[in-house]
Amino acid sequence: MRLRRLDLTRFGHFTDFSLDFGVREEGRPDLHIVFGPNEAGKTTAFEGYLDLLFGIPGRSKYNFLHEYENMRVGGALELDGNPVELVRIKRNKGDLITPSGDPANLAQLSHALDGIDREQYCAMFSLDDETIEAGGEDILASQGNLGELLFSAAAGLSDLGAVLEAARGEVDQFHKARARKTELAEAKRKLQELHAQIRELDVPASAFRRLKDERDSAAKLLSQAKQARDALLEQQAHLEAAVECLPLLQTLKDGDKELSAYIGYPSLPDGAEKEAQDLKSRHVEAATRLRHATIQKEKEEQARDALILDPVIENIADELTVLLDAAKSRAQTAEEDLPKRETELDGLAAELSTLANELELDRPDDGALSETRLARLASICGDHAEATSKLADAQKEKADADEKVKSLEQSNYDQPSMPLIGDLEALLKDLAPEERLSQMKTAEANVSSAEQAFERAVEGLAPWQGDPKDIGRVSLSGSEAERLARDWADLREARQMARREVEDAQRDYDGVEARLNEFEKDDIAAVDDDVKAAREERDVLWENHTRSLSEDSAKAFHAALLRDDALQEARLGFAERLARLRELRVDAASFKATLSSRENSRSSMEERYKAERRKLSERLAVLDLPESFDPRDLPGWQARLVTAQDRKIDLDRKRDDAVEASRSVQEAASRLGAAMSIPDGTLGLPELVRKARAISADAAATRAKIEADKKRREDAEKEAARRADEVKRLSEQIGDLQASWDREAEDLPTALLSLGGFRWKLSALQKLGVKLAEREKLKRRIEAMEKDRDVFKDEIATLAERADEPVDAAPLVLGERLRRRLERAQKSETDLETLSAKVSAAAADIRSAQEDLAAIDERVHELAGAFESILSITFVDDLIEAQSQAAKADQLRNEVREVRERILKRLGVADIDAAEALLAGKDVLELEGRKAGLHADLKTAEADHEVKVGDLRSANDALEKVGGDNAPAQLEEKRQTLLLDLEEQARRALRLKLGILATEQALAVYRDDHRSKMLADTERAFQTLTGGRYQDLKTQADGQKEILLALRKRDSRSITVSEMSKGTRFQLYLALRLAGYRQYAAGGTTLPFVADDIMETFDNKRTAAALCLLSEISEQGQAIYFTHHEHVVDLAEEVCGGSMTVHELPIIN
Amino acid sequence: VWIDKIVHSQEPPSQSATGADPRSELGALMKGLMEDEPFVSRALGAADDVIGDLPPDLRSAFGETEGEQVEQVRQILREGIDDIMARMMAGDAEEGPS
Repeated sequence: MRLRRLDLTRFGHFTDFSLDFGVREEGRPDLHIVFGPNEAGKTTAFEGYLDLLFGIPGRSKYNFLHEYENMRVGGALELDGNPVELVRIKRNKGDLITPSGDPANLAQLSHALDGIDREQYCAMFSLDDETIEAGGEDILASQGNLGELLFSAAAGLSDLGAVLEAARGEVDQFHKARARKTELAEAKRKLQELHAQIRELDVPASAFRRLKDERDSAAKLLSQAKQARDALLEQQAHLEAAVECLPLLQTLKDGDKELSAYIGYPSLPDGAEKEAQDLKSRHVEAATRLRHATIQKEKEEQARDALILDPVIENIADELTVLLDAAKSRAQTAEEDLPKRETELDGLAAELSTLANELELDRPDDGALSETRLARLASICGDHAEATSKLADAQKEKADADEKVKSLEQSNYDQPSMPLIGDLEALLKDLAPEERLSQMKTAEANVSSAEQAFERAVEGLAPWQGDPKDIGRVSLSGSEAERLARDWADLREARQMARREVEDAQRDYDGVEARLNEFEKDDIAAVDDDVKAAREERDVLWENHTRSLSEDSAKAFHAALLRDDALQEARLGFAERLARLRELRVDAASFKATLSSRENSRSSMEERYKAERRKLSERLAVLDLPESFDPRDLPGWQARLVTAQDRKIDLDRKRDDAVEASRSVQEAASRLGAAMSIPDGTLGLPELVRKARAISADAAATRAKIEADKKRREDAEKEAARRADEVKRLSEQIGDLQASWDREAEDLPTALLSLGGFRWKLSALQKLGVKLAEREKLKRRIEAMEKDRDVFKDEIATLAERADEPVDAAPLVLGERLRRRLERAQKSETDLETLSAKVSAAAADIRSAQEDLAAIDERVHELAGAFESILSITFVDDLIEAQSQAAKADQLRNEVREVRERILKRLGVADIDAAEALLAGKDVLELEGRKAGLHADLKTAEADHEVKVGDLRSANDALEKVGGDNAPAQLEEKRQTLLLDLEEQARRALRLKLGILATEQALAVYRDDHRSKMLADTERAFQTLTGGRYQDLKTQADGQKEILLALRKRDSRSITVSEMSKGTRFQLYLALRLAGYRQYAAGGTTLPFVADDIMETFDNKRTAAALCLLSEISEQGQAIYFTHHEHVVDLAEEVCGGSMTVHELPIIN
Repeated sequence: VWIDKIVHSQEPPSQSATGADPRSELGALMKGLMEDEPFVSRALGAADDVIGDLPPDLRSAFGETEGEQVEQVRQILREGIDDIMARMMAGDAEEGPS
C-alpha cells in the first residue's frame, strides 16, 4: 500500500488542504520529509492519515474548527498497485466512502493492511515520541507481532522456563548443598532416631506378657465400674423427675379450675387487639375533623356575603390600564420637561451665533459642511502641512550629508600603508601549533594515567612476586587456569569425600562392634560354646560305644546324651538372641571389610593429592606465585593478569605517542623561528606562536581600519544622493496637494478658501456642525412632548365620563383617582373567588369525615361478631373490653398446656392419668430423702470409676513403653520402608537434576542455531545508528521470559535496555521497527512507514544514520517523516541528495 | 457427582511433538547428549554430589562398583530427559485424548 495524496478537507485547522506525494518513480527511493514549524499541523496531518486508514475516533480532538458531522479526510491510496480515491467521514457506520459519497470497498482496504489494526500499526510503523517507546517496550516483552518475530528463537519454548524452575525447586527440596532443611536431611535424622530406638528396645517376652495381662485386667475392671455408675445415674434421674412433677400436677388442676370461668371466649386472631385500638384512634380523629370543618364553612360563607363589587369600573379596566401605563408616563414627563427644553434651545442659538462670528460667516448655516467633505478637506490640509514640514527637514539633512562627504574625502589622504605578512599567517595555519601543543599535553596526561592504571593492575595480582617490566612474558591461558582450578577443586572434594567415607565406615563398624561386645558378655555365647562342646563329646562317646558296646560306654554315652539334650533345651530358649548374635558377627565382618577398603582408597587418594600438589607448586613457581597460593583462585588471577598485560601494552603505546608529539612540537618551533629570523632554541614554541600572532594581529587591525574608512565614505555618498531624491519627491507632492485643494474648495464661502488658514478653522467648523445637529434634535423633541400631553388630557376625560366620575381636576389627578377605584374593584373580585374555594373545601372535608365514621362503625360491628354468643357490643370501647377478656383466657389455656406437656415429658408417660397413677401415694419429702442417699452412692461409684480409668492408662503406658509383641521387628521394618522411600526420592531427584542439566545444555545449542532473522536485521540497524558503538545483540532467558542484551564496544559489556541512555534506547526501538519493516516487506506486506519527529534525542551523526536507514527502507516501501527541525531537512538533503522529496506545510497566522 | 467414564491415554513424550515443533528439536538435542562423553562426565559429577550425601546403607543401591554406578547414572539421565520432555508437553496433553 502507498499514500499518493492526503486530503485534509475539513480536519483540525485545515480546510481544503492536500499533501501530494505524487507517483512513485521507478529506481528512486520513496522518501518524503514533511517540514513545518511548530503548530503548522504536522501532528494533525499525521493523525489525519491514520484516521483515513482506520476511521475517525468517537472522541476526536480535531473538531475545534469543523464540527463532527462536517469532519472529512481523504486521499488517494495505491492498493495492490491501483490508485483508489477514499474519503473518511465521522459516522458510526459506513464512514468510508468514495468522493461521490457512495460506500467504499472496506474489504479492499483491510486486505491491503493485511489485517493490521490501528493499534498494531501505531506500535510498528507509525511512530511518534510516545508510541516509539511504548511499542518498543512491548516488543522487548515479546508482545505483539514484532515481539514474536524478535524472539522466534525461543518461540514455542516459552513454558520451558517455568518447567525448569519447578523442577529445580523439587530437586532443591530434596537435596541442596550445605542446606540443612532438605527432605534428605530429614530422612537421615529419622533413620538415626529409629536406629537408637532399636538399640534401646530389648524387653523379655515374659515381662511383656505380664504387662499385657495387667492392661486387660484394668480394662475389665473399668467396664464394671462404669456399669455400676450408669445404673445409679438412671435412678437419680427418675427421682428428680418425680420430685419436680408432684407440685406441677397440683398446678395443672388449679389451672383447669380457673379456665372454667372463661368458657365461650374465642381465641383472638393475631393483630385483632391492635386493630381495635386503631379503630378507636381513627374514630376520635374523624369526629374532631367533622366538627372543625363545619365551623370553618360557616365562617367563610359570612365573609363572602359581606363583599361589595363595582362592575362599571371593571368594564373599562383594559382601556384605563393601557392609558395609565405609557401614555400617562409620557404626559407626566412632558409636563415636567417642556420648560427646561425650551431654555436649552435658546442657549444653543446663542452658541451658534458666537461660532459664526468666530469663523467670519454671515449666518451659522453657511458653515454647515457634511462630515465626509470636511474629512476630505482636513486630509488635504493635513497632508500639505506634513509634506511642507518634511521638505524642510529633507533639505537640512541633504546639506549635512554633502558636508560629511566632503569631510571623508579629505581624511582619505591619511591612510596608512599595510605590512606584508601573508607568509607568516600561512605558516601558522599550516603548522597548527596550538593543536600540536595540545596533542603533546594530552599524550603526556595519557602516559600518566596509563602508568597509574598499570600500577593498579599489578597491585591486583598480589601475591605475585614477578617484575612488572617482564609481565608480558608471564603466560597462563584462561582455559588452563580454569582447568587447574577445577582439577584442584575436584581433587580436594574427592579427598574430602574419601575421608568422610572412612569416617562413616568407622562409625558403622564401631556401632556393630559395641553391640556385639554387649551380646558376648551375656551367657548366650557361653551356652552356644557349651552346646558345641557337649555335641562333640556326645559324638565322640557314641563312636566309642559303637566300637566297644560295653555297659560303661553305654552309661557314658547316656550321660553325654542327657547333657546335650539339657543344653539344647537351654539353647532353644536363647535361639532368637543367638540368631541376632550371629547376624551381628556377620555385620561386623562386613563393616570391617568396607572400612579396610575405604582406608585403602583414602591412602591412594592422599598419594594422588600430594603428587598433584607438587606439580601445581612447580607451575606456580613458573608463574612467580608463592606455594601458598590456592589454585582455585587461578581463574580470577588469570583475568587480572590479562588486564595487567593489556594495561602494559596500552602504556607502551601511549609512551610512543608522547615521544612523537614532542618531536612534532620541536619541528614546528624550528620552522616558526626561521620564518621570524629567530635562531633555534632561543624561544619555545608557545612564545614563538604568541610573537607571530601579535605581528599578524597588528597587520589585521591596519587592514580593518582602511576597509572601514572606505565603507564610511561610500555610505555617506549614498546618503547624500538619497536625500536629494527625497527633496525632489516632497516638492512634487506639495504641488499635487495644492491642486486637489483648489478643486475641493471651489464653492466654499470666501472666509474658508485659504489652504494655509483652513487648518486653524477646522476645529471650529467641526464644533459648528455638532451644534447645528443638536439644535435640530432638540426642536423635534419639544414638538413630541407637546403632542403627548394633549392626547392624554383628551382620553382621560372621555374615560371619566364613561365611569360616571366628575371631570373636575387636572388630567393627571383624574387619572390617579380612576386607578385607585379600579384597584378596589379588582381586590373585591379576587376575595370573592378565594372565599368561594374555601367554602367548597370545608364542605368536602365534612363529607370525608362522615364517610370515615361510617366505615369505622361497620368494622366494629364485624369484629363484634366473634362475641355475639356471650356479649352484645355496639361501641368500640365495648369491643376492646371483650378482647381483653378473650386474651386472658388464651394465656390461661397456654399455661395449662405447657404444664401438662412438661409433666408427660419428665415422667415419660403417654397421658395425665398414667402420670397420676405413677405418683400416687408419694410425697416430696420421702423422695428427697431417697435422693440424698442415692447421691452418696453415686459419688463413691464416680471415684471408683476414675481410679479404674487411671489404672488402665498406666497399664497402657507401661505396655506402649516396652513396644509391643514385635516392636524391634516393626522398627526395623519401618527403617527398611524409610530406606526404600528415600531411594525412590533420590532416584526422582537425580532424574530431574540430570534432566535439567541436559535441557540447559541443549537449550544453549538450540539458541545458537536459531538466532532470529529479525534479531540479525535489528543488530545491523542498531550498529549503523550508533556508529558501531554497539556490536552484537543477543537474547537470553531471564526466569520465565527472554530479554535482549547489547554488547557495548567501549567496555565489552553486555548491557540491558534499561541501562542505555534515552537516545540510544530510542535508536534501538527504531532499529527494531526498521528490522520489522524488512520482515513484513519480505512477506509481501508493504505499508507506508510514517514517523513524527522521533529523532529529538538523536545527535546529528545518529540522525543522519537514521535518515540513511529510512532512505534504505524507502526502496522497499514508502517512508514519510514529519519534522519541525530545519537541520533534519538539511541532513536529509545531505545524506539522500536528490533522492527524497521535501514538502512544506503552510504557516498558520 | 457421577463420573461416567475416565479415558486415560499415554504416549512417549517424544511422539507428542511434530517435526515443526521446537520442542521436538530440543528433545532430539537432549537425547544426543547421551553420546556426548564430556557432558556425561558432568552428569556423573552432578549425580555423585547427591549419592555421596545419601546414608551409607543406600549408596550401594546406585551400584556396588564404579562401573555399575556409571551405568545406573546413564539410565537415570535417560529417564530424566524423558521426564523433562513430558513436563514440557504437559500443556498439550491437557487438551484431552485425540
